[in-house]
Amino acid sequence: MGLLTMLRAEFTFVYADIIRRKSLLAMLMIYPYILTLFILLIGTAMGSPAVFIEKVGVDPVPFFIVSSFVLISVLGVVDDVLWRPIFDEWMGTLPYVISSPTSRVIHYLAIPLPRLSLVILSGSVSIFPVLIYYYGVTGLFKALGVLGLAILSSLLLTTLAMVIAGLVFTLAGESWRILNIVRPLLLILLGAFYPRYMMPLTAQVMSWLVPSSHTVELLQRLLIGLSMEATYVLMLLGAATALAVVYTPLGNRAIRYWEKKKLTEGVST
Amino acid sequence: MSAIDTIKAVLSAYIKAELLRSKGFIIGAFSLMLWLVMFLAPAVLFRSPHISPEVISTYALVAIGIFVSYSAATWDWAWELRWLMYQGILEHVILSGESVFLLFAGILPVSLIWLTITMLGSYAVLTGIIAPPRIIVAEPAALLAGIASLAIVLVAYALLLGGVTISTGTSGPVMELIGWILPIATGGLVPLAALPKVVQYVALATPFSYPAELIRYGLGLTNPVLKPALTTYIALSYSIGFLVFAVFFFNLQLKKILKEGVKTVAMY
Repeated sequence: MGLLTMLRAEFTFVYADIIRRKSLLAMLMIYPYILTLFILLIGTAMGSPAVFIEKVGVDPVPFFIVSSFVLISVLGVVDDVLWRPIFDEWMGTLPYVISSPTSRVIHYLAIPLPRLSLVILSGSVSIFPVLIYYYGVTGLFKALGVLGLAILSSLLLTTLAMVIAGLVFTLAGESWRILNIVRPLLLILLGAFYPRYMMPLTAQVMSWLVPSSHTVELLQRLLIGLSMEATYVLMLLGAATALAVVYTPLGNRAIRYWEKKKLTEGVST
Repeated sequence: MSAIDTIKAVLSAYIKAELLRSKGFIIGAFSLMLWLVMFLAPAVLFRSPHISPEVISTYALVAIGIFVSYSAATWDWAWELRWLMYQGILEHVILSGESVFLLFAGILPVSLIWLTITMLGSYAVLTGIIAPPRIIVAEPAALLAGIASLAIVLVAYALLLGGVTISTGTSGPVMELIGWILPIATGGLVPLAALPKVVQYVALATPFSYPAELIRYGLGLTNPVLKPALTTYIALSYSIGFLVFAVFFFNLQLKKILKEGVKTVAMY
């Protein structure tokens, strides 16, 4: 079974699910607003938006709606890769997945793409209205840039997610508990909510290893209106792409290790 | 098997499974610390140098306390039923003739240990990121009434959510959404007085806002929007009424699945 057939199957699966359970679709669209509200409420209880503007250089509302959208986009795509083996085990479908002749690597590369298409929908009801409200016509262009970079961020994280999924499931079994540590850590290092240039040096170095952290920095620079020299933009895009490419064979190998382990030890039902 | 034996068996099973075998407590607490860092770090960017960091930290600790209490009710109790459906155990529990409430009673101590660990961890994170929270009990009676009414409201909330879950096989996103919206919209995170009037009216129409108002008042942080005595009276009577309704609703859903069978659950 090739990539195209897998993609078609995944699209059917995801869209059938979305059409059947509209709550999931509603959540994708509402979540950026909820996260923004959550941080704004805690933030304003701690101080004032004026202090935030002084420190970061942008109004907190557009900043956090963009951050929350990026977070939801990345989670919506990467979670599929990270959680699929666990859900397959819970639902009892893992033995069939493992025993099928399809390449697991092709399968895991195909998994995030249907959800990626939903990211556009989520962005169209979150970042577009807010950025246009704040910046007018410029906001429309900013929103387009943010949307493109968010999609790229989600895509570039897929191979690292494969490395993590393969390693975690090989070493610790299909453990959602370990994933619950890996996910927030990955999201912190992404720098969406707390810009990485404000992080301590150790965290910055760790953040550089996450491909999408570079595109997220680019996205924040676009929003804040910092200087966008062509060489720096290309360097960030290049670093993100190079890291994603480097993680591809590692992800491939990690998934194969996990598959081999399942074939050797069997699948718990 | 007596009710006490059932509760003991559930407690023993969960302590062995969560604390000893899977290290769920330790991993869960560590995970929570990371989520807190993720959400509190950006909030620190709002911090004005003119407001005492200890006061800010105390507000944050109360907000976290209320939020994790909602999380415990959602994920320890309501989600437990969904978990039992996943594993095909719910039918056996129902057929055994034992009340599902005994299951919750067995889990309760585990949840309380979890809450204690997470609050201690949150205290440590806040101390590291902002300053040590300053805990002063200004009004002990109000604080007690606040904690008691919060506990009652959360049990009722878990039963409502659990009832909907078992009768519809509803999905995780709905639970996540409710778990986020409720504490935000009902003054769990920020004092009602600091919220817009419309939100205040909505929050006061629910039983969720009063316990949070009392807890903050008890700790000497803010005065409730209504008079303290009236807030206490409404908090206790509304929470008890809410619990009675939730028990009735939950039993109705149990009867429904006895007729219709247990629902299948979806991926999310």
